[in-house]
Amino acid sequence: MSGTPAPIFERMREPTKPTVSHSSIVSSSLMLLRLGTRWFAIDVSAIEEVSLKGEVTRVPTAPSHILGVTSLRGRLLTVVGLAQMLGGEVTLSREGASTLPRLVVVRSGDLEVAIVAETIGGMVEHTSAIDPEGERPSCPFVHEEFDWQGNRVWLLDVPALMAAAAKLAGILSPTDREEP
Amino acid sequence: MSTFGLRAKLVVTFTGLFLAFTLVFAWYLIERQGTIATQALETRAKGLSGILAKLIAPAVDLDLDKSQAENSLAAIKGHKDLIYIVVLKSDGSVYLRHTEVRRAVEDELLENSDITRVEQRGELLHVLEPIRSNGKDLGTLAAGFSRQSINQEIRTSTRTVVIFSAVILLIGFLAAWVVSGTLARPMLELASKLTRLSSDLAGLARSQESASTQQVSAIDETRGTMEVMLASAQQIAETSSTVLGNAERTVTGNRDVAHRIQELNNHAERVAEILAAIMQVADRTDLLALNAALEGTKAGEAGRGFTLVAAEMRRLAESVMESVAGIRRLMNDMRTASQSAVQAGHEGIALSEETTRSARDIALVTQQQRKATEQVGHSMDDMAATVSEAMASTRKTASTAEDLVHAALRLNRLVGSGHSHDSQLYGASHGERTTGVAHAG
Repeated sequence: MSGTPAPIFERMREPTKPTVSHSSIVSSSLMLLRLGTRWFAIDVSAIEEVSLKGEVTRVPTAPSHILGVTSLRGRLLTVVGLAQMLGGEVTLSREGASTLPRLVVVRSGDLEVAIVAETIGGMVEHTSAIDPEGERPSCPFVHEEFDWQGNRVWLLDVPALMAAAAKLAGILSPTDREEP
Repeated sequence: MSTFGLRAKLVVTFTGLFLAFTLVFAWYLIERQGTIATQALETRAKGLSGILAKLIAPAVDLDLDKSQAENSLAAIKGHKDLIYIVVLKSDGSVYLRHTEVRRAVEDELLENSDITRVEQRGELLHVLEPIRSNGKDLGTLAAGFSRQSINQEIRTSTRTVVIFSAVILLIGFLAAWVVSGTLARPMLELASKLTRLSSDLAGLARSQESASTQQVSAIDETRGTMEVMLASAQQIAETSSTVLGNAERTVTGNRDVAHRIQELNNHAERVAEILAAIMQVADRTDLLALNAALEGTKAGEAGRGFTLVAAEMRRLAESVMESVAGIRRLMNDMRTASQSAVQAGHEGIALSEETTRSARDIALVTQQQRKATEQVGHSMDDMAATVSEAMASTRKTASTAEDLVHAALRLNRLVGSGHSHDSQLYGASHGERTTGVAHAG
């Protein structure tokens, strides 16, 4: 490996299948989380729970964005690092964090993964008009971007995120398995 | 006479002695010569008169003619000292009268005599010689002899003696001059040198006395300074004792402060543990509230109130965490301050211990200084006594030197002849004394 690796999302330009196929106004409840200097939002319907970031056991030969696995009340969860998936666009920092790191457990179908968050910003109600033909963010697992209290927030597309993580890990995502 | 020098005195003395000796010698010689000449004249006159008496005895006995009698005396006629011859018969008549020079014969001398008589009158020596023949007194022969030859001889001898005495006197004068010169010059030089040396000695003694006086004054000042130093050392010792006590109390106080700060740190650690527990509880509360809000949101409209309560609980938990974070910051600041205080306390202890050691050293040094000062004071006392003794000795030396100066001056006056030289030396000595006194003042 030479030089700085390109962001993972640039290596997976191939867009995933959008979950919304028609233009509509969607109002949803989002949970805000901060990782480094960037804020993300996840639809609460995709969130199973929020827990403390306990001990994470690294998995041999796993890619860098797979931080390892952790046990949460008997369930074995894969811990995904958004910072590693976004490459140099996220700088991790504990500055301003008043709480311990959290794990946000998200579900897409039967799959559960845990996303590391430094701070949970709370719940917000967000209304967005989704145009399938419109311009989408450059990152494939970011559904849209919006402003919140002066911060730019990326709304994560959980199925796309899980598919991207699985693809980067060399395994088929549930979506890919469903297609044939 | 006192103005004359030794040489003049010696010359005069020796010359006088020589003169007296010469006069005595001349007088004795002249007198002796006169006595001897007189005795010789008497002997000669007696002998000659005896011979004449025997020669003329037959003529008188036979009462011969006067001319025959004179023939008997022809043999002695022309004798240089014979002045007259008178022959008296036993009846007192003049039998014969013969006079070599025209001179009157003193008649009172013309008398018969049974024995040979010699009588000196004036310039003549008269001899009366009895004329005997066959045991019968025939008369007396009176003869007069002149003393002129004796006087001439005495004058000649006197002249010789005077010349001889003059020569002796001159030789004596020259000898006295030479000897006095030989004796007086070294004595004069010695007296002058003695005068100068005694004057110098007197000056030195006075200078030494002045120096001793100054030394005594300096010793008194030094002793006063030593007393002041002793008082200062005493005061320093008391102050250092006070400082020592304060420093020891400061050490104890700093150790107590450090101990208290350590206890405070321990309490702060316990507070930090409690804060950590509170933080953990608040964090769990936040997490629970978050999950509650999440579930409420998922429940839709029915869970809205639950979501609001969960949000409030979460804000409360965040508030608690912020407060705990603020308390932690304050605790950190307090820990930093306490660490600084502990460090400052340790430094204060070190400084106090250093101050204690310094105070002990100061007390020790001050004690040594006090002892040394007391020893110096004793030494000053001894030195003052020694200097006083030396000054007394110097005064005695000065007095002796003054006496020596006077003695030298007397000797100089006795030996030398220059009054001005004495005055000069005396003046110099007096001037030196004045200078010495002024210097001492």
